[in-house]
Amino acid sequence: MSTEGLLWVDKHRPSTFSELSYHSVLTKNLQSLSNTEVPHLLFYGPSGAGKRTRVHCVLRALFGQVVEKKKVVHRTLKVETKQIEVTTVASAHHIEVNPSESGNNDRLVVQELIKDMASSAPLDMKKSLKVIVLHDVDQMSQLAQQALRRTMERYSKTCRVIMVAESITKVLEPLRSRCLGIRVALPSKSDIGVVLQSVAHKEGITLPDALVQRIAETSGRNLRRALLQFEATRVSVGALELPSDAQVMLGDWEYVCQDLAVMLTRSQTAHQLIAVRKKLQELLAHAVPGDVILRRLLEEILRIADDEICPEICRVAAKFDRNLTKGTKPIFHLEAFAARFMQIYAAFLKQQAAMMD
Amino acid sequence: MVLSTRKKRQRFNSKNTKQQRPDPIEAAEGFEAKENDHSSDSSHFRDTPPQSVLLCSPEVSLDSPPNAPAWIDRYSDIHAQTGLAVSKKKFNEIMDWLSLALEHAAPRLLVLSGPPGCGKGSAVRAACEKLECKMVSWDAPLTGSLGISTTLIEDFQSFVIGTRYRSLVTEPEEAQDMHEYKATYSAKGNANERRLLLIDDLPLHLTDLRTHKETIQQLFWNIARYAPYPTILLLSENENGIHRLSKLILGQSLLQSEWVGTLAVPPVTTTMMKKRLQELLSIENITVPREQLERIVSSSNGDIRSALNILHLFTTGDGQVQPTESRTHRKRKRPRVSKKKENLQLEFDRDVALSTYHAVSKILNNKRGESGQSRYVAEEILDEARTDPTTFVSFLHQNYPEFFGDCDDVVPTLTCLSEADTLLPWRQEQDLRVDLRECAASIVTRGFLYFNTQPRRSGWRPIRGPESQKTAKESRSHVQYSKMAFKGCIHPSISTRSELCETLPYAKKIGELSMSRCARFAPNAATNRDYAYSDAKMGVNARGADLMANGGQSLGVSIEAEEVEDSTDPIEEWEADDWQ
Repeated sequence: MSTEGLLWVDKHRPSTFSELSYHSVLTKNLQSLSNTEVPHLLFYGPSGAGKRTRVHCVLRALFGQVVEKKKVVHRTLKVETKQIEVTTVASAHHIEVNPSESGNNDRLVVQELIKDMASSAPLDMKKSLKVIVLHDVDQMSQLAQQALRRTMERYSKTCRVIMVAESITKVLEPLRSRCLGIRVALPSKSDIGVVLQSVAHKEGITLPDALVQRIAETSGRNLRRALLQFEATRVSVGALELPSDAQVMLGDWEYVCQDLAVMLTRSQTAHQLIAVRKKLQELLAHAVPGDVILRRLLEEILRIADDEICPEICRVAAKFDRNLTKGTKPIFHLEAFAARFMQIYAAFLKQQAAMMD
Repeated sequence: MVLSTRKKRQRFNSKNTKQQRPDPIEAAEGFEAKENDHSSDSSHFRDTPPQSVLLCSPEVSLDSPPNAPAWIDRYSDIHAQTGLAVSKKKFNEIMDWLSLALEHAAPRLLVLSGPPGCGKGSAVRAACEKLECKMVSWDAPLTGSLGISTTLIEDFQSFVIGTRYRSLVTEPEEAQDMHEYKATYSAKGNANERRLLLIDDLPLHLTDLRTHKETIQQLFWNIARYAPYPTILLLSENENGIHRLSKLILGQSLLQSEWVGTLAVPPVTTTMMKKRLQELLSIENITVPREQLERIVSSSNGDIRSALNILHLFTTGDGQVQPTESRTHRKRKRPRVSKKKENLQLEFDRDVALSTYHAVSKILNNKRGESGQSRYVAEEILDEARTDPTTFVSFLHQNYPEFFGDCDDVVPTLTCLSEADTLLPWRQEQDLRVDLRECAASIVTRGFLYFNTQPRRSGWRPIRGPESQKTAKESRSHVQYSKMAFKGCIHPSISTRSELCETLPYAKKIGELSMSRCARFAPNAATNRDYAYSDAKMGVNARGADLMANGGQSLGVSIEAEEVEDSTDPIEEWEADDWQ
């Protein structure tokens, strides 16, 4: 079995409960849950905590090796006069889909897929349940979530829904109450260290502890990011033995965010704002979601800015983050945040200068 | 102020002829008396302020017989007496094309496009007369009954088929009666006669055009290639839709082919329009004050037909020129200069649409009066712009930075914009939410008007269209691309948010780095970083293909062989668009 081209994140992804390395209590609970009848599940927690890995482990425990035989299916749903293209990953027992990908049609996707799944009775009556896995449930529109709730009720005898979401607050209350909520927390830094070392061992790489520490630091305890950074660093160094002072590689957009933070602190003029806007547009064009940019930018800014103005910056960021999730055009809010930060920072600098005199 | 020739005066009764220079009140009385004679509603006129009566010249209005054709029809071929509304240069271009086409008997098609009322029809007619060629036009049957779209197309189809045979190119007899005002010439007899086929505006709705696109394009293809006579197609296109309609009707390939010429006629210029109207007035023997003529001209927006109509209305005082209640909101727009001027505007102003760009620059330039208050009312500009509120907001956002003098003004404005954006979403929750888009647009516009306290005044600052749409498009294609490239390697190949902003950039980077190492480049990540976006393509492409080839087996994801092959094409296509 060739695993040459695979990213390490996917190559070394655990597929059974026994392979999971952290959150042992949660693993035990999930394991015992899989032996009985499974309710609807809602996995939530920050990105890179291992939600999807756990979903997969549950599926594996429920149906065995068969779920590993997955197939990418591009389906065209015909609803009323619309034709909606959906990409799904399906095995004999389950189907995975990200309804929010279909934008405004997510309601129809959810309804049609569940109806479709439920209407075809499974061959093996013992494992009579079919499972539908929905990703990014928190990104779905309110209407789709409402529809999901009704559809879940109607077909609950023949199918189970496993939902994956980052933020539970964006999931409707009634939907939450219909599922067993399972929070997957971020692994601790030492957990990440363990995983990194085990991967390094499997790949035959010597990984110094200092570098592990730094990767765990820069990844923000996001295991996916940690593994990706590890691989990127490994590739950029090019040797099997990594020096402990190797530079940890980041994603391109993260570098752009860093640059943005520096740009904002360097000068506070309208001209600078135009340059900032250009960079933000570029980020958005590369499909980085607006709230992710805002968050990252805030992190970078907080690192640079003085403690005195940090609370104000956070307050402003929270305000624009709210507007961003409610609004349509992320650029408006990002730009407004940038401008507001410039103003705060300029005032701060002026104050500092006055105090010096 | 109202001057009339002696000849005209003689027709009036003695009461009116006495008043050679009537003062407003007297004129009103005179007019009223006359109206009473005609047993029309007199109270109607008593209510109106004398100024409004001043505007119409009673003598003339009484002069014209009740059933006289409107000026618009009477002067449809005014060029015979005065001149054309189109510029001499344009007319010569039309003449050149026509004479060339007639001489060489080349079956060619000219697309003459321009805004309505710019005088393209008259120009063609005049050219025909000058070259002594007969015009055969296709006029849409008015009796189109129920299935209008199909019958119209069928009718047009039979017309087109008919044009292939010289003998069939004749004007139906009854057409002359049906369109008595149209200058159509029956073209019978001599086959050697010079003729011109004229298709004056396809009377099809845009949706019809879209649905029957192929048929229509084929028909025009036939005309351009095989019609025995030169053909001119008149298209009414406004500034925004230039060439869009002609592209739709004719198709790109035909438009660029050697058989088709295109000529755009601009709206009538103010000087030209004024000149023509003056000539017309001298024929009619009416004098209209210059100031009022200017106003008519400016409100007509380069549409001579509308100018003629307004002028006709202006000179006949048959009571239609009442100031109407619904228009009174316009009073707010400009400060009252004088009562007289105000009335003028009420009666004769056409609802002129502002172009989006104009409206945007009005708001951004933010001219203020003496008291520092904005000269405009946000909602009125929005009304006049007639753009979708969301688009308008995007326009404002795109262009604002160049117009702000003070950086501190930007912050409240942008905050306003951000707040308003939360009102904009208008997705499928249509039946659940009230449409707040207009409200949002007015918040934004007011924000721009209010907070921009020191607008920058200097320099040439062109208004650009919003980039956000382009960004959204790029973002979509990026997602599509990443889906293709990482079909096999990402765990379930469903693109979630985490994949887009975490896995993908790293995968790119890893691919790129491994590529550059293979090519024996010094892998200096720090210097490579800036070019990462453009360089990444190489790495991802190689790795993506690599991943696709073996990703399937490795993950147990079985992808059909054809699927993999298919998927390589869109990547290349996309790259060509996006990276170069």
